[in-house]
Amino acid sequence: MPVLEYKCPNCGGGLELNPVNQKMKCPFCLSEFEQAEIEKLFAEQEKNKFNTDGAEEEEKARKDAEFSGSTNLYRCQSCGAEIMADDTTAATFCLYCHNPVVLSSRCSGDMRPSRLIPFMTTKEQATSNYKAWCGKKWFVPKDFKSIETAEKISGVYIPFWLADCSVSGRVHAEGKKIRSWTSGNYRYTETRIYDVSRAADGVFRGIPADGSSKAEDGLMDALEPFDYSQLKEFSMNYLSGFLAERYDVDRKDVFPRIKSRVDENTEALIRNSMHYDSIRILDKNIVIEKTDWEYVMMPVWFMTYKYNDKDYYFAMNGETGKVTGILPLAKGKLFWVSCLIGMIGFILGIIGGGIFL
Amino acid sequence: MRKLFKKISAVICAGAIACTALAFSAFAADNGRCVVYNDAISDSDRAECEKLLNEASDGKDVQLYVLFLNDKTVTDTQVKELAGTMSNRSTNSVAAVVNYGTNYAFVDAHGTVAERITSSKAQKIYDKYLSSELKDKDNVGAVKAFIKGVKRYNSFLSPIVILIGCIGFLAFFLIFYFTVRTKYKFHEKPNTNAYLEGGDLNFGVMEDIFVSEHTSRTAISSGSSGGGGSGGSHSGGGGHF
Repeated sequence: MPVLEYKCPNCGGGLELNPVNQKMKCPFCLSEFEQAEIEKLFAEQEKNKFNTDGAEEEEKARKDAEFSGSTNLYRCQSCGAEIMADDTTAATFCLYCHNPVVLSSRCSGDMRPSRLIPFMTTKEQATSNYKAWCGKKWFVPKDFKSIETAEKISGVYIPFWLADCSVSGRVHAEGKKIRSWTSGNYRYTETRIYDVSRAADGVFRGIPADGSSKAEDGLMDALEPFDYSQLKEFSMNYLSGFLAERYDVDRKDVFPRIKSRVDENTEALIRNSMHYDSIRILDKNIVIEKTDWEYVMMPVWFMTYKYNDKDYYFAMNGETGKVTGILPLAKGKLFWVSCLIGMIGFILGIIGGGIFL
Repeated sequence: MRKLFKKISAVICAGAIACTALAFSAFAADNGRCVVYNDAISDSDRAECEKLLNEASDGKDVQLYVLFLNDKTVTDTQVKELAGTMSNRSTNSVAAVVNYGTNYAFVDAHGTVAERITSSKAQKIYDKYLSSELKDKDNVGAVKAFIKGVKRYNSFLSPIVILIGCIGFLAFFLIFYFTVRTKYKFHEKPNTNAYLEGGDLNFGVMEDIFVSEHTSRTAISSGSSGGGGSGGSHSGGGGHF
């Protein structure tokens, strides 16, 4: 199976995308190149290879494909080591020479995203945001906050489906307006009942839903919003130096998530247009009339942490820097601090009881 | 004639005061913890009460005294004064005076114990412990109840106070524990509205048809409350039974 490695024209080291200036940078000789420049150079190299020993290469590629199709093993173009990857990995690193490797076949054909948002934040920013985020949390286990844990943060391109939905909704409800006043020794309550009908339509553009079964859905939702103005035409260059996943959850499988969000939001907006003291929905019908899909990749700084045999996650939006996560709780520490707080309650109870009884 | 009447009245009053003073000095002269006047209680009851009071007081910080009277001429104010006199017998003591003549009893605390057994608590000793026993004319029971009441209110950590402390502990513990747990649970929800073109839906139908109206009427009720109390170096409380 074909493997792409963007090599430094100066020293042959593996090039990585620098999120700060969006240039390809060699971590060995520190040379920087424009993406277009590298693409051009890479295309020329591939063409030359094909012209010289095309038949041989084709045969090698066929054999590689056969081999990798069944074993998910790839050969590192730099050191020759075999790289093992699971079914959904689209970009990774060689374990031996640590050169970035893009498994191009995982991002071709139907699996090729149309666009992607490149990483705009660095690992240093992700690490410092992580430390700032969990530094304030008292009841997180100590080793969760450690430097070693922070260094496990990886940049991952997560596959996302963006859905454009045309929705129409009709709601029939009973609305009540209640007015109260006092006159003499009586309190009067006037209730006015209305028959309320609403019909509305709208278009939701680019509702995202991750297409990776490995990523926690709630966590990915919490990373929103992404700034779609930064979406670029997909190029393998962007994956170099990061991990990447291809989708393994099809758009028909993410549709229920999208539908639930659209339904909830449409109903909420329609309800907001009913200015009553109480509303009782008698009938509603919210229909998504048309959905257009786009397959994209979004940049996420990600870390998994195992605590008491349970996985916890930290994630940071690789574009905006928004941080979220599912935190482990040091229950022992919480118990003892709660006991201490409870003792304050005990003392206050004793003092209060002693004074008032 | 009026002058003569006034003079006779003054003599009678002075006589009464002198008699009371003599009586007070007689009580003070009695060294027992249970003092009985006018055969208010039987000798066997007195002996039993004395024993109980000795057991409760000997070697303790707080000394307990009880005086039983059966004299209709002794007023409630005089009973209070007698209770004060009784409790003054020690630097730190609680005294109860029971007058079967007027069915009035009073509890008085003196010394540092008065800081714990305040007037309101002395009143509670009477209300919750003494009064029911006195109504039944159970003298030994009344002394037992008096001792129990003093122990209950003299101890800062009474079972009820400890119970309140435990409730305080549990409340603070649970509120803190579950607040932190909730805070650490992941519950972020994305904002779908941000993806809506134009920020809102286009409403084609917005109909609000008035159906009916009704008015209800309820009478407004009112209530009242009251209460109060005070204390000093002596504290006390009592009442009629």
